[in-house]
Amino acid sequence: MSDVPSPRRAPRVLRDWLPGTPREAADAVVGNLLLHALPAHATKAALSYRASGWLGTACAVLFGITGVTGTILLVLYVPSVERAYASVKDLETVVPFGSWLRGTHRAAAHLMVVAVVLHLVRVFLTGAYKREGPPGAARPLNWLVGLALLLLTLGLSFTGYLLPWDQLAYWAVQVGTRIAASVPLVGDATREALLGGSVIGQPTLARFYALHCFILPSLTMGLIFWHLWRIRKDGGLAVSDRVAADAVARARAQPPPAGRTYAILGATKGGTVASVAPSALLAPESVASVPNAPRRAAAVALVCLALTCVFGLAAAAPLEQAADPSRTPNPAKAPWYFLWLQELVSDLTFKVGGFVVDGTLLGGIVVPGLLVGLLAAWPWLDRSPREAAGVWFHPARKVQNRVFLAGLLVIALLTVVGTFCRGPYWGFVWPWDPVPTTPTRL
Amino acid sequence: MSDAGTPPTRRSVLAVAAGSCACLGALGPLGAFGAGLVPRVRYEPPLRRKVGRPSEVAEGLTFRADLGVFLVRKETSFRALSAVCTHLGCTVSQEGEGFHCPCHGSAFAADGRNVAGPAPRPLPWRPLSLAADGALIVDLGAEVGPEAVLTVTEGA
Repeated sequence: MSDVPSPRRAPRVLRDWLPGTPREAADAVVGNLLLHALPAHATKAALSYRASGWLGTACAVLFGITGVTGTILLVLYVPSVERAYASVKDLETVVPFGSWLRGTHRAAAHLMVVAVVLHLVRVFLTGAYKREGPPGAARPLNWLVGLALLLLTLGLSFTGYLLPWDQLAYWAVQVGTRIAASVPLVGDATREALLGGSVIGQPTLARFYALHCFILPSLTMGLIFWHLWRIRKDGGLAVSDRVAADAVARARAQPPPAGRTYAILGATKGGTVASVAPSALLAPESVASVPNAPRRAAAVALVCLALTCVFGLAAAAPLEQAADPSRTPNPAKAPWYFLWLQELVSDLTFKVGGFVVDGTLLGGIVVPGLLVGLLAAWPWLDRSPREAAGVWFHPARKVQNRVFLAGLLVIALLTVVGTFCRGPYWGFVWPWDPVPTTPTRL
Repeated sequence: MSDAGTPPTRRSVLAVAAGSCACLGALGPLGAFGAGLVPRVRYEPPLRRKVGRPSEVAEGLTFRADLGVFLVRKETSFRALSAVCTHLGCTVSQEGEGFHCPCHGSAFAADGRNVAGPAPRPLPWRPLSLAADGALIVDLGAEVGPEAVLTVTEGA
């Protein structure tokens, strides 16, 4: 060993994470399992907060927080119809910091829904899913993996709702599984498979418990790893493509003195700069991934942890009365991220002559299904040039960005109406109106 | 597998055939173990339920939360109307003359007709019958018209 001591040398355990020299930084990427997912060098643009908001990292961190809090909840919770509600009540009143634990689990789940949606919005508005990329890139595939992760996030939220076995839980599952039953041909079988019978009971709780605590988390974790691996395979963030293209264009405009750097690199033949690998040109725009990327990831993780802990303390998870199959709360509202669907299911039933349009199938299955299908097909519908990839609000994508944002606005408006403007019997009320005790006849 | 252009050998054909059979065979236990997810025994409440003695049913409309029905008594005639919304299964409650659903705003008239909101069908009337011990029995799995009435003259 010919270690030359250097004044910036970090302790041995931390050397991979805080490399003192470029050599150590490169070794860290090669020799460390966790850092192996990173490229040796990344563009400063890709590491910036402005390009991505680091929202994908935030999603993964929030998923991790639900995993850690969920593991503790897993051993304190009893998945039985007789004891589930009491065990959650114990969490709220007896277990030390139990209420905070449950609140943090719920806060992380809610923030994860927010972060996943924002991540989708960022990827859409920057055109980062586009087909045109560096050789070997398959960004539309990663877009599809991301959509699957969005659906898994919502599935995790929905299955988690049943477990406390309170009124909210019972009626959310009653309504949700009946929506599934409205699908022609396979609907009733789907509902029976989810419920483990024809009514909500112990088999239902067991199934949702298995889905929430094992099946969906495993799928999510697997897809997260695939999602991350694909980013590497796709040549990093789409914003790097543009930086690389700029570097090549700049080099073309100002050819370097012949026979110097590039000749040494041996990358040129016949003196044309175009054949030089962009990575060689990117030296001024890029930095070593280690420690820059893990440092930012750690910052994002700490912010996520702080937010969830504070939200979990400030807004404790609600627990309604124990599930009562004979009495429905009035009004019975879905969690906020499903309220736009509840609005659609309520509003999309109307008569055209003698024909009644079924809002359950239309609002609960067809419209959300079409939205997901449209998003999935979007990379193949997007005809903008490759320069539009990795750029916020590129002019070539103006129309599609507006369509996308308009769709989001409609969903947001429906959510607001469902949250603030629905009173007893799902009747429309203004938020400032006193809630009527006896609703007028509809 | 043989490369394109070269003819398959006997060995490669047998290898593909054996591999395919093994993969198909692997589906067997998967199907067998998955079959356990379809329940053979259901521990669910029965659909035919005792309501109680006719004399215990009050005149007019009574909500029976345990059964999910409204009992309608007019002197010696008895009827039972389901309280489960035909839209997505929430329990409706009486409001004025008719019934309203708290989940998606469906409304039903006194005879069960769906008059507003997304409910696709009227609330079903359930057949009532008398058990050997004289108690009323409601069948939550069957449906009758609103005109079907059980008349009880003795012990009511």
